[in-house]
Amino acid sequence: MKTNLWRFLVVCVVLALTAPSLIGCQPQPETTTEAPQVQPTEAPAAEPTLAGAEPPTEPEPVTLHVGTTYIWDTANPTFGWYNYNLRNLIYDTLIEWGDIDTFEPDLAESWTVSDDGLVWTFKIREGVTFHDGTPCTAEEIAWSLNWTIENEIETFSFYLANFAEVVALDPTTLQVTLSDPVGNMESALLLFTWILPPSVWDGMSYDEIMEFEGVAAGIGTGPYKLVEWVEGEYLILEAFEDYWRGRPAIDRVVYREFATDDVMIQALLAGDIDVIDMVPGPGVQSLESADTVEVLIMDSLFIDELIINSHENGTQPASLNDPQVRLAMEYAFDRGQIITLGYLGYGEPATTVLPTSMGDWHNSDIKPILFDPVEGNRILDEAGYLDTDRDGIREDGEGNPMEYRLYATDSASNARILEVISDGLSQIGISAPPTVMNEDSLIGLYPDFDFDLIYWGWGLDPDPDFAMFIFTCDQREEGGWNDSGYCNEDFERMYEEQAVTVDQEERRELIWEMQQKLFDDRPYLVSTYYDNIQAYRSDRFTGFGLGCGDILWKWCFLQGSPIE
Amino acid sequence: MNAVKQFVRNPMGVVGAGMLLVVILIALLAPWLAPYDPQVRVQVTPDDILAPPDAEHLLGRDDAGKDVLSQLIYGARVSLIVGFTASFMSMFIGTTVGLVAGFYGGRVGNWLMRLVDFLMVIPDLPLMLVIIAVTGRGLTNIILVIGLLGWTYTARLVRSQVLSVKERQFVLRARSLGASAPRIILRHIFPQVVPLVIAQAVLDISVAILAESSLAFLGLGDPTLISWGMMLNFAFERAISRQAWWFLLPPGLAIVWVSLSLILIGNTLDQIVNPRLRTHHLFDARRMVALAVGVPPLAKADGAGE
Amino acid sequence: MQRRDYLIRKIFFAFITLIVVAFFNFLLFRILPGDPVRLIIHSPRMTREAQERIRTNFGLDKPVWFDGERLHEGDVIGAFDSQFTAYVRNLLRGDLGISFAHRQDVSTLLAERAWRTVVLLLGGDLLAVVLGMTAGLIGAWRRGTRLDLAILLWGLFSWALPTFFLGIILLILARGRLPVGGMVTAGLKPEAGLTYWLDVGKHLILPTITLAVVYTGEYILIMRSSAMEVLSEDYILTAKAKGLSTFRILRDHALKNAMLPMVTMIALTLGYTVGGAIQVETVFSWPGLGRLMYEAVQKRDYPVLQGSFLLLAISVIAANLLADLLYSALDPRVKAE
Repeated sequence: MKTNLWRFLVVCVVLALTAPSLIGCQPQPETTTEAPQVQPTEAPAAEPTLAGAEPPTEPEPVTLHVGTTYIWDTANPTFGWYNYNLRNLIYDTLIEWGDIDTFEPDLAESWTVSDDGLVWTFKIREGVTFHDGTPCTAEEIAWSLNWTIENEIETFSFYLANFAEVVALDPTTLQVTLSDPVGNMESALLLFTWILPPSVWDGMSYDEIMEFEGVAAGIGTGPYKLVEWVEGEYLILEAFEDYWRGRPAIDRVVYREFATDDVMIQALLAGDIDVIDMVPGPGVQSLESADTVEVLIMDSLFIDELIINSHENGTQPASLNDPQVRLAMEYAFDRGQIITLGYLGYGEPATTVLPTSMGDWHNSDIKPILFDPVEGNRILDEAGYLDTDRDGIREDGEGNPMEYRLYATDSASNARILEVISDGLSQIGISAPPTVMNEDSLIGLYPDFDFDLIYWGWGLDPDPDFAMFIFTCDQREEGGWNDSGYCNEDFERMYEEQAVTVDQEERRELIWEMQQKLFDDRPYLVSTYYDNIQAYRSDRFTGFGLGCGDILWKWCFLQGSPIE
Repeated sequence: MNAVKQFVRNPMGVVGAGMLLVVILIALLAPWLAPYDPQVRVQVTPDDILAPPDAEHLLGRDDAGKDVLSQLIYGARVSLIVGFTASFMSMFIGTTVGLVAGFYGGRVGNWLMRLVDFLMVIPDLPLMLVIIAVTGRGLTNIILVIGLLGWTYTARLVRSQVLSVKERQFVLRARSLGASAPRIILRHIFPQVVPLVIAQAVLDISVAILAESSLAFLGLGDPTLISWGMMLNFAFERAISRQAWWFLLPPGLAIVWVSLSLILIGNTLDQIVNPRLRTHHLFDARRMVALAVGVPPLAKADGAGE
Repeated sequence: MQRRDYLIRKIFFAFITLIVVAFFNFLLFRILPGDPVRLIIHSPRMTREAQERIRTNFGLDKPVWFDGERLHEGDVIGAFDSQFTAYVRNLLRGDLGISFAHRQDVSTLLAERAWRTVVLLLGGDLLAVVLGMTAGLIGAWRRGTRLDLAILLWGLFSWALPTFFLGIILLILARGRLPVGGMVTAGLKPEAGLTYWLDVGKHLILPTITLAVVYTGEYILIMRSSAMEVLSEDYILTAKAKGLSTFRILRDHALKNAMLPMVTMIALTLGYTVGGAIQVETVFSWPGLGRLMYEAVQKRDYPVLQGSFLLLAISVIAANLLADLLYSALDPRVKAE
């Protein structure tokens, strides 16, 4: 988790995205969509709310400390990808993700769509102000969305691709006209479209936007204000007095950065911090034995997979393109051991690209293929890959040994996972010695797709569009998301069709078919849908919503309160 | 023969040699000593991971559910290979550079010593990190980096010795008799330098072993190799919160054991080579400073007694 | 006269070394594979134009040495508008460039981080010197006794101890008792005065002890042998005859004798010490220069690495020079070679 190259960034974004959507399990919090609105003043909070009733000495602010291995790389929301849940405490969106697969109104109170699906009208909440005191009405929101599109703001403009026109009809009405219908309009508006204040960003050139840094970059309408950030050390958020849902119960949120997970776990046990945003598998046991700590093991939208180079430029051995070889590899892919060693058991064996936590989107007709090297050997024998020189490694028809390059990024758990993969493949006569390298070196292989097998992962959007998008041909361009080099006409056609299919049942069928296609062609051997594990001090805080799959996710976090 | 006798008479040297011998034997006999073959993967359950010591696994299991003791035994091989090869490389380069620089002096010697000055100015570990991160982390790369960056001190040591030997009677005589330069170097000067170099090389082995383990600990070792440093890396990343001391302590103590044995041997060797000094030059600040600053070694302590 | 020449020569060579380091720095990070632009670009979704703009901002669009074509055309000044000349120009102005990963001035970044490492090393080294000298002196004084053996073994043991290993052990032992990571409790400001510094002090305890223990070995051994040598000198007999106690002799003579080389040693082993700092800072999340460099390696943040290599080289060269000056000032026999 120490490196930050784009692929990882991408993973993080998406990880972060996923956060709210995890199919939670625990009791649903009361869905108070409209929390009481306190002080709808448009002026900056001139005076604090303690009007005489308070004792003269100011009470100690309630502070929640979050431990993380990496806070973020920049306060600038226009290109920062890390820790989406943290940014989400600072900024608001039109519609937000609440519990499992539910959309909640955020800055938009309600919305309607025209029959042709092209015109969306949003009723905008009144009395919202930015942290700097400037008002946030439909005008500012329209400005923010248009500015995002015009400047191609990286973090969000991708999701607004079909937006033809955004106008404020009046201070409480926003109208969005699309060029084509969008199959996942709500999710498009959800996460990538933070509303930023024109008072800060207006008039900047692209370069100025990119270089903008500092606390002012953290001005939004969200429940917390960015107060201070010391790179590599800590970040402080303070409750926003004029937040439209009312001032949050927890006064300060402090993120602290730790060099290693284990040290972070120690800090939680010692009470130096109150929440760990992602607990590694090995830490669960020691945390569970502590009475003061509550460990939450939640389904997530994280997937890890073995990428099989499917690019037609031929840097991989020809045998790797044979569907029978890929099928045999599937039989040699010991998901059970991978999950035990890499994730300490906190994961579920995977089949398709879409995790089970996506509910109906996940194609449950696809049955898992269990580890069975005997069957793998049989398939290879039958397909004519034999070990003619008896060195333990099979050869293809032309006598080339089946030797593949197997890479992953350098973490301790990846090293363990590669051992399992390499061992499994050796059992069916394929040699794939593991190599770990840092993120940058791995990304360096991409312009040419110069690899055979890579173990890597994604955090996906709650909506299946993104997970499918990464297998489209155009995305193989340098800087694109396609990391397997997969490109297939049928798949491409289905992708385009689902993107404009507004009927969600029809769209689901297409998505199922696409998953089947990917499962048969195997650009990925998806290993696991692993859990998101968090832990917090239950002796100090309580009430966090559990439905988001991430207690730091705004929707769930705001339900939490300190224990007196 | 005399040297051997002297060595045997020194308890520290004997203890050190004994300690090193144990490790060498363990490394050689690893396949017979280790209860399990660490390269063979076994099916494990979550309970096997970091399981504490029991009758079957005397030092418990690691984060992959494998036997710690067997890895400890096999790990000796990597550490010794890295230590010996890298130190041999530094010894070879350092001696050659030192001989040439010391004997010829002049422009070549000056340039060589400038190179040494320069290399000494660049901090080793960060440079190793950069090079390994970029070139890949195979065993060969690790050995090369440690060996190629570790010869500067030996070069200075040899040069200063050559400078003092070169003016001695027998060398001057050989010269006046018309002996060729290579001949003088090999026949007359080299033998005077060898003992010193060997004492230094022994210490370099421990430096190389420590360097390898630091690299591995910082995540730049080869994870497919079982080395003590790599074990510590896994332990630091995955075992601390479980307080799996059986995985953490043995590799660390093994590193201490080997480098301690080498220091004891090196120290003793140096006492034999330089009987008058009674201490290893490394532990003699004045000589070390003199070497590093480039001043000829001082014959005597500059105490008030002169 | 001779001494002055000697010093001038030393300073001259130090200067040359510095230039070579600066040149090496430039070269090293140009010959390493990988496109640094990929690093600066935070997102794959950035347009080509935006990528080019960044390339220009960091001067990566220019030729490395010179533009042969333009040179051929006679445009000498234009031809040498290269990465190298820009590097030299910036260096002369004290501008170390902008960090890829932090998007911040490297000089500012280094200034911010370096003093924390200095505090750490200074504390660790001082403690080690005091402990090491005392123990070494006692060892020599009680030579041959069990106490001496214990001290000697301790010296050898800590010499053989990997820094990071000791760090991890202390980290586990201190759990819940002392802060195990960072430099200061989040949010505490220097304005808080004493509270702030006490807090920093608490965070310093573990890393300092680690460094101190590891470095003590060296000092014990040096001090002990130095003191033993003094004891064998003739004038000690005279001193003894005068009725001075052995301990007093040791204190007065051995300590004085060892002091200068000891101080110079600290200066000379600076480069080596940085290696220890990287390990300690990694174990204890101490946000100093070592960790900055380690992260820069991970992120291929070449400007930061270039800057820190230069900073370290300057420190080592300066320390060497200082050691030289001290030596030549105090040792009458130092002459030009």
